[in-house]
Amino acid sequence: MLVAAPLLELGIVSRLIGRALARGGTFAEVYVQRRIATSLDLDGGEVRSAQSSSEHGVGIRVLHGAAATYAYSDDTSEAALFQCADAAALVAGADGEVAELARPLAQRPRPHHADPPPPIASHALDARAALVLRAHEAAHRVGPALEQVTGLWADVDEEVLIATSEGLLVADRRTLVRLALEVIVRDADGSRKVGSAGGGSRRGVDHFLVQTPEAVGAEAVRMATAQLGARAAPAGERVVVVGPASSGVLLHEAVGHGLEADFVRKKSSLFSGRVGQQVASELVTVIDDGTLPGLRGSLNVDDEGTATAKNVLIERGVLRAFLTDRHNAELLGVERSGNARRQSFRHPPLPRMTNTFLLRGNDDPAEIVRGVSSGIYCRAFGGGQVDIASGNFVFEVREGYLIEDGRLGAPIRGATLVGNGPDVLSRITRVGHDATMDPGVYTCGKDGQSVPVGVGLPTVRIDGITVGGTGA
Amino acid sequence: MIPAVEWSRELAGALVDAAKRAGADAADAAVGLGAALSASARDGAVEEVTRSSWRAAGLRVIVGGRLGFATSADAPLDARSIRALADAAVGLARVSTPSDDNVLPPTVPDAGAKEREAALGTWDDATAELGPDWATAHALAMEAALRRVPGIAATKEVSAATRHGILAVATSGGFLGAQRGTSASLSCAAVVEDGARKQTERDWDAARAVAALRAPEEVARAAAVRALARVGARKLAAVRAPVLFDPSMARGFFGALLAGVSGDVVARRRSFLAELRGERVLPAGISVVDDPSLVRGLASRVFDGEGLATPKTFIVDEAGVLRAFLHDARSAHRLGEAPTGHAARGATSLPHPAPTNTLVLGGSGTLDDLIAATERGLLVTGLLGHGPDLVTGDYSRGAAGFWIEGGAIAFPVEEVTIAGRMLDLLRGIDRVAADAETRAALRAPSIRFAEMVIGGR
Repeated sequence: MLVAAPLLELGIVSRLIGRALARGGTFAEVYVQRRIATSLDLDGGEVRSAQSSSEHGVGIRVLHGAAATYAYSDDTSEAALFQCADAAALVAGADGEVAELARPLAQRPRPHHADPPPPIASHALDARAALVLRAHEAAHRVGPALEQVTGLWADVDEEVLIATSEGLLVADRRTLVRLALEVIVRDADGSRKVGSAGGGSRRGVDHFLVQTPEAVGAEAVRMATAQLGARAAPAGERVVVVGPASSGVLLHEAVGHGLEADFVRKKSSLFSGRVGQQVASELVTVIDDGTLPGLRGSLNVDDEGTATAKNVLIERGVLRAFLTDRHNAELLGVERSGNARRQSFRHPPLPRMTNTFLLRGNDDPAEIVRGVSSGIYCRAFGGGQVDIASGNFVFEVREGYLIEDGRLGAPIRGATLVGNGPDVLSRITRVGHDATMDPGVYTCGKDGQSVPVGVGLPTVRIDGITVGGTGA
Repeated sequence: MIPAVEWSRELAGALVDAAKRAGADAADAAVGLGAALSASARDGAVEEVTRSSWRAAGLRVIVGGRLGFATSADAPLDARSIRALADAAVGLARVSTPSDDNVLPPTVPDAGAKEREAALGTWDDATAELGPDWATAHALAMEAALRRVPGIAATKEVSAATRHGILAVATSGGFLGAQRGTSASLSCAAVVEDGARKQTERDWDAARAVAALRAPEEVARAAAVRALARVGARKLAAVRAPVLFDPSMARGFFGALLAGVSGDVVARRRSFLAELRGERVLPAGISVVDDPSLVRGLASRVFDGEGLATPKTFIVDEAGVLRAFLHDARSAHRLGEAPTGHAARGATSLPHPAPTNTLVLGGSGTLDDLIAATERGLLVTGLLGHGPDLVTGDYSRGAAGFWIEGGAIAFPVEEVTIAGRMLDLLRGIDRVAADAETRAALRAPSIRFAEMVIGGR
């Protein structure tokens, strides 16, 4: 761990802002980041590799009406940074509009939702490896016939400094930890069944005092063995019940991306211009909340220095608001929602989700399953993807079961759910009272940028969604 | 550019030396530097210009059979920071488990690498020297051409980009080399209204040199034609039928085959192909060849990330039989085989086995011929979701495309699924065209699967 030093001297920051606006532009921003990431890759109880990366760089952005320029440098010498500011200034001067003088920087009290834990580096590397080994051993204790067990530890410590020509100056420190375990068991027919589990948060290593590595190991084994004897998933439209927590991926894909203000402004989202309209069943209230303490998608301030917030996006089926960053909020004439995020200083901010969830309903989860005579129950999902323009989405079922006469039946394999966001939301007919956030494992990708997010969902019944399997 | 090449070689060498002084038994280092420019356009104006430059180093050390890897994106420039990176890597090695598989490949002297790089055409001076004007002009030209097409409601992600970079590799076995590359790309998407929904389609091009790209107007027109063809897309009832993939979709499909022959996933028994070497995995006559020596190939290279030359490799031979897995030093050692020179590496990533340019050979004709030969079936031109589950081989995707009736396109289709098991699908390919595109490192032609399960209403 490097000795704590100011990320960048404030005198240089202000001069960079001035330089970036030298050729015009309505707004300039300097984003400084220092990040140390460490990961451990385990295979069969052995630490296969230990890796770390350290980064320190600056991204400079200039806005000019609807146009933006972005330049970054991982060389933080003064000369390189001024060169970077000049590169960012390049296009803004095209039509000669001269910017107002930048306001002096004034540090603002940072809104804060949780005290950051001590830096991860204060925990010895082998103490971190020991957590994954505990999960590995627990898996072997409950599942002696495991063909393979692999594990992962990943942590990030980062500091950011954000300064703008509007006088904003915000510094923040962020921490992220994640542990994952995957087990493989061999089925009677020779096929392999995969079980995966994990979790993490911004609470530091203490996260695993609550979600124990042993629980992670047991969950991975449970998932793999539950799929033994799985039969081919049916193909065609079915009633689908999705279980709580990780199923929030459905929400993330089906509506979340379409509510991001860049797609909305560019009219490439099918939610463009539909605020105030009914876009989902009345049972559906969708919230994005970056303020939930310690969750994977939570932040004190977003990557433009705006305080994160609890944003109601859809209320009882009616579209209320979009997820915005500064640029798109201004062009759409709405408030900043605190959702500007970027993967690193190498990337301009984009409107992104933080922790996105469906508000709990009134139904008993067990009762929801009992009410289905024939359908599919989905408990765990892999990744998903959405086409913003059409609203069509897909996601992979990692653990699913047939529902027969109100009871869970045989496990199914190889299923994908395909649907259309608003269409599926209008087919939600039951919402459970078991709303839960996922254990903290998801990363969302957009325009080549990955950011950690949280998803959440109670048990939900969807009347008719296309299941892509190979069976009858 | 010569000073940059020398600088990156020297730094890579200095990192390996520092690692040895810090206690490493063996070490290798990669140093990358480069710059990229991209511009996007919207509503007749430049939307965003991004200039990036990077300079990064990654150092892998082996200490008593233990592996450590440390990277710095703030590339170490002085002796003190070089030493700090070496100390960090050796410190990381201390927590890892010793393994015989942590090895570096035997080093072969690098003779004539510079000449071979020139012959491969991976570098184009004209492309490397371009400023942002090329990118902005090309993005604007594509955007204007898109908006001129009647029926196009909006444009999306219209961008042009150039990039140039150097990667130097040094090993404690004595290898020291650097290679350079340039690339340029155009990409745009057209949005059309389709009732209450919208349809988006994109087209793109990529090449080592700007001069080899299609004209921006041509890329725009292709995207517009693709988008307009999607209007009125509907679902299908569930059915079993032949399924055709255009070259883009086929590229993704064969990409899954290549992921499954990576020595790393094979060694960890995480590939559905792990036990199938020597067995037929494709119809006789269809081969899959990895070739790092294609002139101006997007993945062509003189040496791999561990300093080895890469020979041309038949992954699947002409009889459709799986012949080779692709290895880096570690996966090769783990399986008791020889490294194949397929260590892929960036400055900040550990080497891992991956293909270079890959060609799917043995077919004839074009996609149109495949369509004409199909009585009824689904032509897939878009897929949603990730590839197959590599471990189980289960393949299930969301698909969009066109229904074929009587050997001709009948109507556009969306929101269906296609599914099967990878091995059944590979063996079930019954027609292969010869229309592979050069715009990607994996050059796959249009293919037809005899039958797949299509899920719909």
